[in-house]
This record gives sequence, structure tokens and C-alpha cells, in this order.
Amino acid sequence: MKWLTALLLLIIAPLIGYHYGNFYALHVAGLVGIYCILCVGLNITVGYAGLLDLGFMAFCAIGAYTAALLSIKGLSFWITLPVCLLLGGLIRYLIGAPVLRLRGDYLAIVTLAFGEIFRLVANNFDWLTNGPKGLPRVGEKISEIRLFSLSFTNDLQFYYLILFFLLCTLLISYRLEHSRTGRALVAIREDELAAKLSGINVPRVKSLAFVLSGMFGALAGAIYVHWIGFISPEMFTFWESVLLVAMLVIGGMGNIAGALLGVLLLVGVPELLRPVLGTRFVEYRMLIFGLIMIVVIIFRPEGLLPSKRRAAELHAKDD
Amino acid sequence: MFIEQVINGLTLGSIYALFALGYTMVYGILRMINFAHSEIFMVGAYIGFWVLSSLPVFLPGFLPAYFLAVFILAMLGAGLLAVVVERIAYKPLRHASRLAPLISAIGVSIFLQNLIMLTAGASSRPYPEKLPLEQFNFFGAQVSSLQIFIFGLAVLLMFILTLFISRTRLGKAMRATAENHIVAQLMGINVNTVISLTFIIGGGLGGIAGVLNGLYYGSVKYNMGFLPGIKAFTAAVLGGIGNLKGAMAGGFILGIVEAFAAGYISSENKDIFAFVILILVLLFKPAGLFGEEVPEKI
Amino acid sequence: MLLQINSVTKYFGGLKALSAIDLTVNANEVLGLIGPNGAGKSTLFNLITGVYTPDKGTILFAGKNIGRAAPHKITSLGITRTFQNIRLFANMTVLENVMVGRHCRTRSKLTETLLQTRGFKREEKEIADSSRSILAFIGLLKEGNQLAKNLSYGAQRRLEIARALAAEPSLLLLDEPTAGMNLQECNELMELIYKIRAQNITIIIIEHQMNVIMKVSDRIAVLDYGEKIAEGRPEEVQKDPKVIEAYLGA
Ligand SMILES: Nc1ncnc2c1ncn2[C@@H]1O[C@H](COP(=O)(O)OP(=O)(O)O)[C@@H](O)[C@H]1O
Ligand SMILES: [Mg+2]
Repeated sequence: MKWLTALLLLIIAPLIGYHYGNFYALHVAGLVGIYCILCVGLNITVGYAGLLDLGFMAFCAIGAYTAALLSIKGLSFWITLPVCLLLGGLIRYLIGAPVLRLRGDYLAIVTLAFGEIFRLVANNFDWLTNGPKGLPRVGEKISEIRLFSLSFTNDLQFYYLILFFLLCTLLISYRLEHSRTGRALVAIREDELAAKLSGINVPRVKSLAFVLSGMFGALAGAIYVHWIGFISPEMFTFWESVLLVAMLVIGGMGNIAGALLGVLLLVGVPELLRPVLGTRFVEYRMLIFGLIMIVVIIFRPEGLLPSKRRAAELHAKDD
Repeated sequence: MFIEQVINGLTLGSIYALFALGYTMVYGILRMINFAHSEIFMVGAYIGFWVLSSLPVFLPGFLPAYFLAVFILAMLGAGLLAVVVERIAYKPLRHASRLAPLISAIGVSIFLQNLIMLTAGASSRPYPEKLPLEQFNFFGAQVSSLQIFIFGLAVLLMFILTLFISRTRLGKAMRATAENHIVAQLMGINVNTVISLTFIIGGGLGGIAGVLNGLYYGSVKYNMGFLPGIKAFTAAVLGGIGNLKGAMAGGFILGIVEAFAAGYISSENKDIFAFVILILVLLFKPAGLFGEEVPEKI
Repeated sequence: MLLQINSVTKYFGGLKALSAIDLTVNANEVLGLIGPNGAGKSTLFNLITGVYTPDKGTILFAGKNIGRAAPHKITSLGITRTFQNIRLFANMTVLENVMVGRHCRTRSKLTETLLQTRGFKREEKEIADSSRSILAFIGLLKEGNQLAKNLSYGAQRRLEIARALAAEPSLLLLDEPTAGMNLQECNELMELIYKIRAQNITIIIIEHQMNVIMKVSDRIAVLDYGEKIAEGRPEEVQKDPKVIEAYLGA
């Protein structure tokens, strides 16, 4: 019931906002939605499996660049999207195979290095990515997303598109968490050796989580580039990846609600405050996030919304 | 060309080696990647920048005093900042999971970068050129007095550090603590003091590396620490993290590799090489060239 | 004969932790493994379960060479264990810890999980049900919803056993299961060992408390400085002069 109300609110509120001409809030809502997909996806790696990934935005970039390149060639979004997901997943798989056996802190640094390599490649390989100037090139255009006769052009339409994909993301993440595979991931986070000796094929399960979360990154990138219509390497710096990790740390690693809260606090609130407090505030934003990150990891390492353990499971449901 | 690249490599390597010592010393004692060390380096460069800009124009007779002031202030400032960071952001996490201090260090990194960006400006600033620059001919290659100075100062500092660690009581206490905190404590060593000392020395050397970097490239910027930081960390891992001599060797190796990659392959993609090397080292030689992987006891 | 260890040797750097150990374990027996601290008992467990690989020698389990097999493979072949230093999934509930133990006996794929197929739901219910009955068996059902880290020390040790049992082992390795337990908990643990044994599960138990080990074991093997110095029935081993010397000398 609670969920249904929330869902209705998410569907109806933007219509009202749109009606009264609050386009800025609508844009922010779309942005929050994109970050929610990213964070809930990253949470599978960082939160469930406990693998610190400092290069996640690279997979958002892979999705965005792939979508942009194919869409400029005139391919429909509904064809480019699966390509983006598969490519993102494949690259993630190839990277994961050697790096996932590394110890936690080294893994973090290697993912950072891969993230930077992708950005530098996007920056330096002009023939493919048009370098720092980004895509599309002058005279080219990223084609619109069409669904039957509807074409997605304004923020309201994109809001619903993003909401749809976010709901899919949430459903997948929720089902994963409450399954044999999800428990295996958390077990690996808690004690990798004990997990191995409980019969979990650790490299396989880790790889599964790594690939799956990378696909959400690619999904967010593909939608984003169609929405904004532009992409450049600047959008995928190391600090963007760190910002995602900060959202998880602050919101609560390993908990979907925590990831969503993190996005609201670090993206939603500052963006909504931007018109009120002015650009000066925006400059102080990162300074404040850095501080909050330190305070949270010291005083509340489980985050503001720690994951609730499933108490219900003990009471056998009669179904 | 060849000799020139060797000279460039040794200069770069001097900076990386000094910088890498901070990563390796902290890792040796706390088993944590001090991600914020690159910001200590950056703040050191800014301290040098401020001191140099506020001193009067160059007076020939005062050259040594002049330099002493710049380096001592940068070293003290950076060292103190490193200790403060340790006390506030790492110490409460000493018994937490391995990733917690890393995350905290990233938070510190964000904070310090943005603090400098907000106070000193977001654009890059030219480093004051108050040194007499001379070029020498060395087997047909050009060497500047600055390059000789950087190399000489780095070697001198590394020599002093090696003596300090191997000969003095405090140095021995540091080695004992790196070996085992509990045993060190039982031997009557104040582990907290040793950790602070490690941060002062590592941070101080990082600060000096920052000043040298500023002098060499002629500018400072709030995010200048990130890339050299990655390279210095790579150097530390290459030498076997926790191993001082390894970090020095790793620094020089990395400097030379970078100079040659930039000179002979592609200078545009030289940073990509740095990251590729980092990945290769972590994947295939995580214990480094001189280190030895210790299996976890169960 | 369920497990056969043939002249297994293990080095840690220069230290020879085990030297040419021969040991056989018969089905449905309880084998006690004793020896002074540092004798190599836990190392032997680590070799059997695939945490380390032997430098020399072979380990046959039910006729299969498992010397170089991956730990999770060995677990699914039917060898599970507990640890000398408790290694639970601290931030998971007691029930979830046991459910993780069911991992290698269940197979739902990711696609089935995401589509919530009927097979997936059936399997999840089976996991929860059987885990609950294991908790009931071990006497921890009441605590099922607590986080593992909040259990008492003795309960944590029993939870490790429950997790190990969830994988339906035919060989169970217990590494100092009574360490840190009071007298009453010790007695309960002995009862538990008898109950486990009654389910046709073979047990190797490392234990320092002589009264416990002498009571529960059918046979005892003694290690000292990485060598097997005695093997036999409890009353024989107890009288063996080499064993007495190893313990008095230590
Ligand atoms: N991972 C390891 N690395 C180095 N030495 C080890 C390791 N594991 C055990 N040892 C050494 O091997 C010997 C046997 O240890 P262990 O099997 O734990 O003894 P026990 O369980 O009989 O007390 C000890 O000297 C111990 O220090
Ligand atoms: Mg032992």
C-alpha cells in the first residue's frame, strides 16, 4: 500500500509540476533518476559484494558513447540499448576476470586506473570520440527515442522514461538481494574465505555482480546521452565515480533505500538549492561532501540508512 | 635524445621517489593506502609558491638561505598537515575494515582539493621564477641547473632518511612498529608517536616533492597532485609497498619509463602508460620487485 | 575409508609445518587430532579443505584426489569445517549464515532469480525451511533473527557448525570447537557431536581439552612439530610415552 502511494506520487507529481511550469524541478528529478540507476547498480558491487569500485563512471561512459555513436548512424534507441548493455557487460567481464582476485584496496586502485584509461582514451582518440569536444560532432545529431508514434523530446517525457528504467533497476536489485546469489555476495563481503569454504564459487559470483552492475552503468549512460543530446570525457572524471561512492557511503552501503537516500542528499538537495543559494554554494558542495564522507565513515560507517536484516524470514510464510 | 631522456627520467624519478616514500612508509606502518598523500604534495607545492611569491626579488648572496626557507616551510607545513589528517581522519578507523580508512582518505582528498580551489583559485598559477637558470652541456645533451638541483636534493634527502631509519632509536622504533604494533608496544615503543612521526616525515618529503614539481613544471594547480600521486603510488607498489629502498628504486624506474614513453612512443598518451603500468604491476607483481607476499594466516 | 592422506608435506617459507603425514579416516568414525600449539593441526585442516595446497603428497577423499581442488569444489564434494578463530558472516542474521551454507546444494540461476520462476521460489523455500530445521537441530532457532555478531561466544561456535552442516557434508572438520566455552556449553557440544555422528557424518575434531577428546573420539592421532607421533585408540594414545613427552615437554 505504502509502495503504491509512493509510485502514484512519483507518477502524478511531475504532471502537476509541469502544469505549473516548474521545469527546473522536473529536470532535477530526471537527473536524480539517472543517478539512482547508477547508484543502485554500483551498490551491487560496492554494497553487496564489498568491492570498492572507483572507476564506475567508465561504464556509464561506455554506454553513453556507444549509444551516441550508434544513434548518430541512425539506429533506434531500442536497438542501441541492448548493444550498450551487452558491450558494457562484456568489457566489465573482461576487466573483472583478472582484477577481481585482487585484495580490496588494490582492487579500488585498479578500477580507478581503468576508469582513467577510459576517460583518457575518450579524450585522446579523436577519430572515434571527437576528443574533448565531445559528441555529436558539428552537423551530426543524436536521434530521438521513439516509442510507437511518441517521440521523447522534453523533460517530462524523459522523466517517465527514466522512472520506468529506474523501477526495472530497483526490481532487479531487490530480487537479487533476496536470493541465493545475493546472500552469496554479502557472504563474500563479510568473509571471503569463509564464503569459499561454504561452497560459493567466489570468482564467479563476484564476476556476476561486477558485470551486472556495469550494465546498469551503461544503461544510465545510454539514456542520459539521448536526453541531454551531448557527451564529453569531462562528464566521466574520477571525481564523478567518487561522488557515486560517496552517495553509497553516506546513504548506506548494501541497502537500496540507502543508495536512493544518498542520491537525494548529494544530487537532489544541492540541485534544488542551487537557485536559492546561488552558484557560490555549488562551489562549496564538494568541500562539504568530502567532510560528510569522513564524518559518516568514522561515526556511522553503516551509513544513514543501514540495510535492515530480513527478520520476516524466520516466520515461515504459508504459501 | 637518449641521454636527454635519461636526464629527464632521473629528474622526474627524483620527484616520484620522494613522493612515493610517503605512500610506502604509511602503508608499512598502517597497511593503508594514504589516498590524501597527493593532496599533501599539492599543499606543499602551494606553500612553496606562497613563500616564493612573498619573498623579495632575488638577491644573489642570499640564495642558500632563500631556498632553505622555502623547503623547510614546505616540509613543515606538509608534514604537520599530514599528521593532522592522520589524527582526525585515520586514527579513529585504525581497527575498522581495510576499506574504511581508504574511503576516509578519499574524503580528505576531496576536501583538501576543494579547499585549495576555493581559497587559491581554480586556475593554474605560474611558479615564481626566482632562480638563476643555467644550461649545461652533458655529452651533447642539455642539463639545466634545476634538474641537477632536483636530483641532488632528492638523493641527499633519501640518504638522510636511510641513515635515520637504520641508525637512530626512532628509526628503529619505526621499523619495529611496521613489523608488529603489539610487539612494538610491549618493547616500550609509543606506537602513536611513531605513527605521527611517519606521517611527518612522509608528508614532509611529499611536500618537498611538491615544491620540486612546481619548480620543474613552472606552475601549481589545486588538482596537480592526482596524476603524480598515482605515479608515485605505482612506484611504491613496484618497489614492494612498505619497502623504503624499493620506493626509491621504483620512483626512478617509473620516471625513466615515463620519459622514454613520452619521448619515443607518444607524449600525448604518456598518462595512459602510467595507468597501464599501475594495472600491470598490481595484477602481476603486487608484492613488487623486492617484496615478498605473505599469505594470510587462518 | 573416507579420507586418505598420503605423506603430505607443507612448508611456510623455511618452516616445515607438516612433514610426510599419513593419515586415514574411516567412514562414520570420530577422529581426534591433538598436539601442542603450532603442531600443524589447523594446517592439516587447511590442506584438506583446499585453503592451502600440499607441497608434497596426495589427499584422497572418497577415492578422489582433492589435493589441488578449489575450496568450493571440496565443499560441494562433502567436506565442511569450522575455524579455530570464528569466521561467521558477522553482519548477516543467524538464519542467513546457515542459508549461505546451503549454497552448494542449490542451483537457481540469475535469470531464474530475476524472473522469480516457480523453481526459484520452491528452492528459496527449501533453503529457508532446511536452514530452520538445522537451527532447530543445533538449538539456535530462537536466535535466528539476530545478527551473528551479537551471539554469545559459545553460540557463535555452534552456528559455525550449523553452517557447516547445511552443506550436507559427509566429513565434518571441527577446529577447537570448545575453545572459550564454559563447562555446560562443553557438555552440550559433546551431546551435539554424538547427534551429528548419529547422522552418519564422519568427524575430525581438533581439541585441547583431554576429557572431551578422550570421550568423543573413536581414534586419536597426535601431531608434534609437524610430525605424526602416535595414532590409536584413546586409551592407547594416552599411555604412549612419546605423547606424554610431547605434552610435558611443551
Ligand atoms: N599462513 C601461514 N604462514 C606462515 N606460517 C604459518 C601459516 N599458518 C601456519 N603457520 C605456522 O605453521 C605452524 C603450524 O601452525 P598450525 O597448523 O596453526 O598449528 P596448530 O593448529 O597445531 O596449533 C606454526 O608454526 C604456524 O606459525
Ligand atoms: Mg590450530
